Amino acid sequence: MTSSKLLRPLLRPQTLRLSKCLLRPFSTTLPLPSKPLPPRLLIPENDMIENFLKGSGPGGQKINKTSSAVQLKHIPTGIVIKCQDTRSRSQNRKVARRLLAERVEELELGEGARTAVKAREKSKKKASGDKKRRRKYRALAEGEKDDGDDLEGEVVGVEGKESVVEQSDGGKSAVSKAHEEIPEKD
Amino acid sequence: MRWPFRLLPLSLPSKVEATRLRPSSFLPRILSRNLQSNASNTESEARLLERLIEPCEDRAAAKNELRWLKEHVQKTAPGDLEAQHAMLNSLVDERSTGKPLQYILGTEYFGDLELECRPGVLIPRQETAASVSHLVHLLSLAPKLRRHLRVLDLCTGSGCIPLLFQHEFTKARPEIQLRLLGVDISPEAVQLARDNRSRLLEAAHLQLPNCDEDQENSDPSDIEYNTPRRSLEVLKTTEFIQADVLAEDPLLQDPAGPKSDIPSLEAALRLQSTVRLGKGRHRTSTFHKDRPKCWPVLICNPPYISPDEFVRTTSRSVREFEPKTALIPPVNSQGQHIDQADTFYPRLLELANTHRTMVVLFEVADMAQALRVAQMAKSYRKPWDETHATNKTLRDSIRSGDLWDSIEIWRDQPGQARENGVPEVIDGFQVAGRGNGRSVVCWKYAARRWFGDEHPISAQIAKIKSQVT
Repeated sequence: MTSSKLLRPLLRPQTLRLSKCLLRPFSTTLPLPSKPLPPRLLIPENDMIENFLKGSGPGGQKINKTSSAVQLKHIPTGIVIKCQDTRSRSQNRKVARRLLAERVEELELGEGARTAVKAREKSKKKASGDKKRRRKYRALAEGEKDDGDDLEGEVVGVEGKESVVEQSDGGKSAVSKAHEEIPEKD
Repeated sequence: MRWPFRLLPLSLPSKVEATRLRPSSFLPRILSRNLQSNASNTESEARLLERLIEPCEDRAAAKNELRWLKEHVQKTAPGDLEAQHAMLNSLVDERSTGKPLQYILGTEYFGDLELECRPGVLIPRQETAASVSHLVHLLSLAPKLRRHLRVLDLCTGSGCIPLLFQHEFTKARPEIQLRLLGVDISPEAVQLARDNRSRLLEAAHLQLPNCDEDQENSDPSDIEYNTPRRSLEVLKTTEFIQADVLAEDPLLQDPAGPKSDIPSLEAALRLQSTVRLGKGRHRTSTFHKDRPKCWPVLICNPPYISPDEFVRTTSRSVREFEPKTALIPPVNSQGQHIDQADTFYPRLLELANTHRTMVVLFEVADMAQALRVAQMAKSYRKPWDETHATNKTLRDSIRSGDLWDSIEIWRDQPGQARENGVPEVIDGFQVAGRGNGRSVVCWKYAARRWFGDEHPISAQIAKIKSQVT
């Protein structure tokens, strides 16, 4: 009993203690509070049909399937979400519910949906970043043209780990519209 | 005092080395190698995928498995691309022989938990997790549950059932003191279950509120604060022991009969409790009195495949790589009138009777077996009570706990309602959920008290559920 009590501080992550020292911010200017996002939509369980795509036939000890895919169908809109990202079924269930909530919200709110707001903000940031980069490289190109040893700024790799989103009927146009109408201004 | 200085390098790196290490010189090399491997990746990946399709039986599953294998490889050998490539190749080779992915990666998810898996111990199945979660959900709805709940899991394997029970139940009802015991005949299984327990113990330690001062200041009735602490407490008292569930109690047995090295369940339980009670201090300090013969909740996922079905219906990865003792029960000693697949169930019902069990959950292979087991439970009587039972009315037998009050069959997803919404009844047994027949759940009359009144269990649960939603 005593030994476990003595060992307990060692088993704890040190970062938690460190965080106390780091509470003081590095910059003196306060970050601007971003506009609050609309609240997350919670879809009642009774409105969806959940399916674990395992196929028919025997299960239990007889079969050892690694499939943890989860399919959710939203009854009122007919939206179908399939998620098989992880090996954990419970994780996939959570992800599928989140994705479904996002789709339904896009359908209901259009431009005001969380995902649309987030995408707009992201594109805004990217546009201003691009602008800055262009300005910087223009300045560099004008300045020292003889230095050939400069490196690429960044390498962006995106690993494809997508979840399949299917639209069985209705609402397709509305969702795709929400994706297209992301404004491209600064 | 001199030793720390030895650790310093004798001289600083020379200027030549320093220039060699300049990022500008080595970065492009890595990048180019990366691009090169990317170019050849598409064709080699297609080849890897081809090899995975045979054991996975379909392309989408093979794609998923290849991705998980890649993630695993990237985690074990970060940065070293050549090693990753070689490792991925060998893992795909291994998988293409039919070896289960869980044995290759070393873990499997069971509910929210990631548990270790090893060859020689059955891999936890997702259907089992669904049944256990549903039982925990129902029990956590019971308003009048006792302060102590003792759960016995037989044929525990990797220890998945007690560990998931603990995880989910403590989250829902941290105020109830749980005591869990897992039993298995195989020493490898017991060892793995103990390892999985320590794995979760470590995780629970990390979740604990970080400062001792905080603990004293915080409100002890705060549930958020209590759950990790209670998890830790329960996991510490959770135990896994080796015993033979089918072996007769040596006290009832003929002393001249055959003896085996593995103790019977009763002997193991007695031994475990005497060890605890042997030290006087422990008896008062432990919050639960250790009663070896009282287990209100009994769960078991026994071997339930007959040798014939084993050849015909199991998949190759199960047949060739998972332990047979976890899949095929031994031949029944009681006579020919019981199917070999059902060997465990009469014994489990007897154990439920002698251990004052209120609710049992037994996993089965399919609906046919579920109906056989449900019928067994319905007609089960105490062997020494035969004369009494004939004098009692059916109602009296149920009230006194001689007979089961309600017997249900659960399908793969027991929580889901049927498409048409009409409750299903087969051969007089209530059937819940969707999918294949997966488990048999029986409640004793006394369990009604947990739910607060005298209605049948299923009606009470439905009532509580409708109140919650």
